[in-house]
Amino acid sequence: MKVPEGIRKYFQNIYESVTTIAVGMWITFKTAFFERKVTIQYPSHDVMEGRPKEAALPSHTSLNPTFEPLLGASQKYRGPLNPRVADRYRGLLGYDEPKCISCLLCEQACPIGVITVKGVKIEGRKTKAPVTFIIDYAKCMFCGLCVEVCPTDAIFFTRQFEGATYDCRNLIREFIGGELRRERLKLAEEARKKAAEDRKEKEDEGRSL
Amino acid sequence: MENLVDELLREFWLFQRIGSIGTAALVMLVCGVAVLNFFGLIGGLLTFFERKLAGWTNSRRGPNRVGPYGLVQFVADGLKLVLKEDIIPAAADRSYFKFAPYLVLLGTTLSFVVIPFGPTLIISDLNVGVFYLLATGSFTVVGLIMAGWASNNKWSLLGGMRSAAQIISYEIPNALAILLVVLMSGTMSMQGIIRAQAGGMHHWFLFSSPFSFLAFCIYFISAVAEINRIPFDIPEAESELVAGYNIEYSGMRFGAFFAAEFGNIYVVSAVAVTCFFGGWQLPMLGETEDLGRVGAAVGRFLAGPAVLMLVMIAAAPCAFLAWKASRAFIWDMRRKRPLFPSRFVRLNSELLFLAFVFASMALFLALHLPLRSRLPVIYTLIFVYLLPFLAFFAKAMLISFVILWWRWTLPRLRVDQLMGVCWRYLIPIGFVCLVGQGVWLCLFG
Repeated sequence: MKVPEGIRKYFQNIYESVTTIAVGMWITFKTAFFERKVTIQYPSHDVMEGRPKEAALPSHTSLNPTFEPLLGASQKYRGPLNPRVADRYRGLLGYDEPKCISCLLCEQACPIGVITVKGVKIEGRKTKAPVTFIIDYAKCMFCGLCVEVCPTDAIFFTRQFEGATYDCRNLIREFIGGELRRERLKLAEEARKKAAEDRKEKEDEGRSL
Repeated sequence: MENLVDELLREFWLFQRIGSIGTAALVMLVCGVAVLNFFGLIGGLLTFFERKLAGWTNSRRGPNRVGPYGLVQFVADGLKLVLKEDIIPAAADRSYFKFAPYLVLLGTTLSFVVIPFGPTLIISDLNVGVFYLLATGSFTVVGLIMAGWASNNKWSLLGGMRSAAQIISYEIPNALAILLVVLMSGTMSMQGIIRAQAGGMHHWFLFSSPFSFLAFCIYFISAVAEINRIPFDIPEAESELVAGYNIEYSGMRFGAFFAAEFGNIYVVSAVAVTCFFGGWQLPMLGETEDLGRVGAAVGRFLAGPAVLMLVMIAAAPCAFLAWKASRAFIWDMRRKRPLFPSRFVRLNSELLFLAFVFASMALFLALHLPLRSRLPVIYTLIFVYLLPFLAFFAKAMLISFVILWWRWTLPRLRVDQLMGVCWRYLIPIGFVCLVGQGVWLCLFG
């Protein structure tokens, strides 16, 4: 007996919808109850493999001490993803003071004017020594021009990304402060005086001639 | 409820002083508050389950920050909705706009009047219970179309129109499936329908004939369509209508729509349980008397030496876990971290939770000791009243789970497909089932 096309299609439709719905439901059920969860629960999952050791960051690891207790990262992530922040991640700018020669290349390269550098001449040092190095993270767009242009790798990207803060002013960071700066300024003053004396001596000599 | 009023009037002089009208009003108030609270709680829990399930099907974790396992999330969400600014569009029809959400909510809450929670726990066992349910369900249509119209927004109006077309269409297969149940049980009262399924699982209407099984499928599909859930959620299809009829709503007015949607899930599941899954009947135990007998037996068992043994069995793991967990709390002041950084540190909240569970079990069992002589009576009461409630609730939750599950599995139907499913498939099959069931009853009934 030949079943008319329309009726055959009608029942085939029902059959197909039931089976496809069953397949779909099985797939979601499997995913929901038998598959590993991928969520990286960020503040409690460690994404840095220990808090960043980049010593170059200014005084605190986190810019905002309010978040510090939250960022304990006690749990290890057990999902299929890689929770680590990438090695070449363009995080907050870091600064390595001993390497810096205060050549001002970074300051000039910056299109926004994020960086302020000031160097002084010190006796016994071939290059200028920095006495001011200020980065305004609030303005920074992480373009990396300063990092590229730096001849001594004194300024570089860290993996630190936890810069959130309640006050924009917290984001202006001074890297050279306190003792070092005072000492440098003193040395510079001495050097300047000495230079002036030298000049004066020369002038005196000149006059005497 | 009527029985309760009568009884109160007969037994207590206090109620006699208030008079029959006062007592009735008081009982109504208490019932209303109880059921509305249940409605709120169940709606909230269902939103939580839905979000959790949504997370799991996407391989995420879902909400897990507020309260243990994120269980209190819905309270936070509700609070947020209450505190949000309530915006009414300038061009909206203000009075209708304000009224519509309550009408939708009313459609849901009114259904709770006839939903049974146990053999005696029901607000009012109307003799036209099922009919009443179908009628109150239609409140929702009015509310939705009112919301769509009053918003003065094209998307809203389209959503409202679609919902009207959809709900009215799907009421037919819905009613057909329920008609079949009425045919089988010979009554429209909810409790009557449940009592007609007494005597074990094979008496449940779901399994009693192939036609009633089909009727359940029809009921389930059309019920999902009636409460506008995916795959039948074209009234609020977000890819086409942004949010459908509730697009202009914010704050608690939106919350009302939301609560109604999730309350409706429970209502629909409860009706399915009543009509097809034997209501509050337990799968294996048939009659209420059986329950009482089993309860008395359990009570007699516990009145023996069993309690002491069970207390000890429950207390031992509790003590062990508490000891384990406490190790994680010995704090190393200098290094600012726990002294024993084993994996128990990570697990300590779970361990404490387990310890708490075992401790409460032990405490609960210990409470049995002074009540020994009364245990058979107490357990008879528990088995007769509490177990049926739990059975009903568990079944309803199972069906709600399938509704949530569908939402995260199936794609949305097109409008013409939606109408096609209703008019070309569900309704003809429904009629065939109705006739078939009649024949079946004549042959085997």
